[in-house]
Amino acid sequence: MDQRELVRRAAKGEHEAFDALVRLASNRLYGIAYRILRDQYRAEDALQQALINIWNELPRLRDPDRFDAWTYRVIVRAATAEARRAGATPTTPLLPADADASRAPDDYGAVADRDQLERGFSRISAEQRAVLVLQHYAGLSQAEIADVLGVPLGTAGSRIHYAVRALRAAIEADARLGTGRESMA
Amino acid sequence: MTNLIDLDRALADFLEDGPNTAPEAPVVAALAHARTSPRRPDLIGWLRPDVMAPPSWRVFGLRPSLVLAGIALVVASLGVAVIGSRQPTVVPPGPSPTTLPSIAPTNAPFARQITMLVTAGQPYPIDVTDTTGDLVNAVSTQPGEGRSVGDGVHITSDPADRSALIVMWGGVPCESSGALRVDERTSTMTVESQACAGDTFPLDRIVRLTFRSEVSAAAWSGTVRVVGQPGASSPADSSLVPDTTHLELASTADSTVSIDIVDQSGHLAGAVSGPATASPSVEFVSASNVDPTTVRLVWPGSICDTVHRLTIAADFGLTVDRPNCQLGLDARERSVILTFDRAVDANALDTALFSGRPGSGMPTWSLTGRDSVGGRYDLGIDDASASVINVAALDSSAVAGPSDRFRLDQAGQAVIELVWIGPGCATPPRLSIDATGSRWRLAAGTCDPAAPDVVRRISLKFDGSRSIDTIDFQQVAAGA
Repeated sequence: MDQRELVRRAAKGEHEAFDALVRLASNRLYGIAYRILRDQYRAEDALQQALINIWNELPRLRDPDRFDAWTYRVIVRAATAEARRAGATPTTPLLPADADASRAPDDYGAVADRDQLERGFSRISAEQRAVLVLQHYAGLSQAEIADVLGVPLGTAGSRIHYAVRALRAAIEADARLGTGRESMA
Repeated sequence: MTNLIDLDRALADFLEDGPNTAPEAPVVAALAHARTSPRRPDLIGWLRPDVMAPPSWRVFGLRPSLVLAGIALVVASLGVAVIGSRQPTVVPPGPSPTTLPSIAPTNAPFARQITMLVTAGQPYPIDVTDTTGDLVNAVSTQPGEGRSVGDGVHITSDPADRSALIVMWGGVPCESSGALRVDERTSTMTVESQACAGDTFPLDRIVRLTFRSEVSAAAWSGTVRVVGQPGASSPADSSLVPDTTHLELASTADSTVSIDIVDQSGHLAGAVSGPATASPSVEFVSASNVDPTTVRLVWPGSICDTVHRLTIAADFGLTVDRPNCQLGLDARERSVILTFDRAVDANALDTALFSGRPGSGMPTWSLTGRDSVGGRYDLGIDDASASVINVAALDSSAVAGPSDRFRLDQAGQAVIELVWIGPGCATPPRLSIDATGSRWRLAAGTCDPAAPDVVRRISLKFDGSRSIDTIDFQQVAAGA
């Protein structure tokens, strides 16, 4: 049975069809929620809320072929809502405590970049993180992101642009802060 | 790192790291929510915008069709106002137009028995009839909880279909049959409804009637006629009840698995169980022809699915209802072979499988456990609050019997354990939780009073915090 039929049946209230849809989509949705929130527990909460919203709102999805795009929208909204509710501060370590020790010396530069990225990423808004996750993790085009977010194409492009700019600014600010610390030491 | 291409690449690598598998807990919780939150009828669903409608096509959140309808209404109102403001035209008297004799409709009167869906009590058959045959279809719609209309019959137009009317009235949970008489000549409807003994709260009954041509709800009126106590119906009334066949299904476990087959088609000639199979070969309920008049219906289940109801609709649509049961138990395949008195194309049948559907006549949940002496028991749980998200039978062998025959323990913020003493031979006990979630009634079933008592212990998990201090628990006699 294809996904379109599953969507149609789930919209009619068939739990088994919904179960199958959830099994198909939950990994994808959790991956997105985790990457927006950078916190496994909040990502779990966002996923749960998103799946409940999908069940509740599914009858209002007129075109079953748009299920994937719609679920992206639902998980992004759930994750950004979760971020606002939680104050947008990750609670789990962004890198393992022994991250430096676990890597070879010639990987150090990459670790430093990742570390900067992690901190920079945590400093931009959840909405900005969401567009970057949709583009770089989910692999959506600008047009698809516009569709998911329900905004015009130009607005989506603008949001991506400002998200990248905000991330770069956060990374550069972090770098300046790091230099300052070294000079004080 | 400041180079854009480098940042893009680094960002993609950075985001690639991380979990790609969803944990089980939120998925299970969401599925449990769905199973305990069935769809409510949404009569104004057509008014709600598509969740993926482009924002530019909405005006104040309304669908374009609504906006256009609104504009048309305004234009029409203006037209009426302009025309109405003119001086009336005086027409000189003349010969009256000839009235042509009308051709009487030749349609056969409509007469069909449908199953009334309810939120409390059992679904029951009602006879729908009309006088002219202009009525072409009647279906019951699952109502929401409570009552949304006053006394009498409430008739509205179906916004999605100009030839359909939505008919609502209040019914009582004990009803076992009823009737809806439609008289197109007088534009009246009469509902025959049974009375209930004792205090009962009326609940919505909803039927959608489709006519051959456009109908206006404003022209229609209806009344409810109470026809007496249930059980006092005449023998003729018993013909309204569709045939119900009780069938034991083959089982690979030591449990008894049964199905009640309610035949509204009037064409079921026989039914037998399919073979017991441990591994389901289907993902969903599936119908296939064994031969032109025989249909094999297969659906996936688990060992805790022990009771089912199959409804065969007038158009041979097949709906399987069963309670929810503990998630994650061993999978099983269930099947039944249906023989009809005429050819039935299985590929054209509408099939559906529901778990814990309110109004289906099935408990919301079922579980199987062992009592303190190792005896098996099957517990049905009716959860009108839709707040139970999982149930489990716990080890009862080493549990001290509660001093006052039952005990509620707070096993977690959202988990309550129930321990009770009852006769070991009791027929399947049934736990009812009311819509508020606070009133619990355990019907232990009937039994030989001399039978020794046993202890049983179960746990219920809720969708949020639930304190035992808020629960009014009582054991009652079966049927109370």
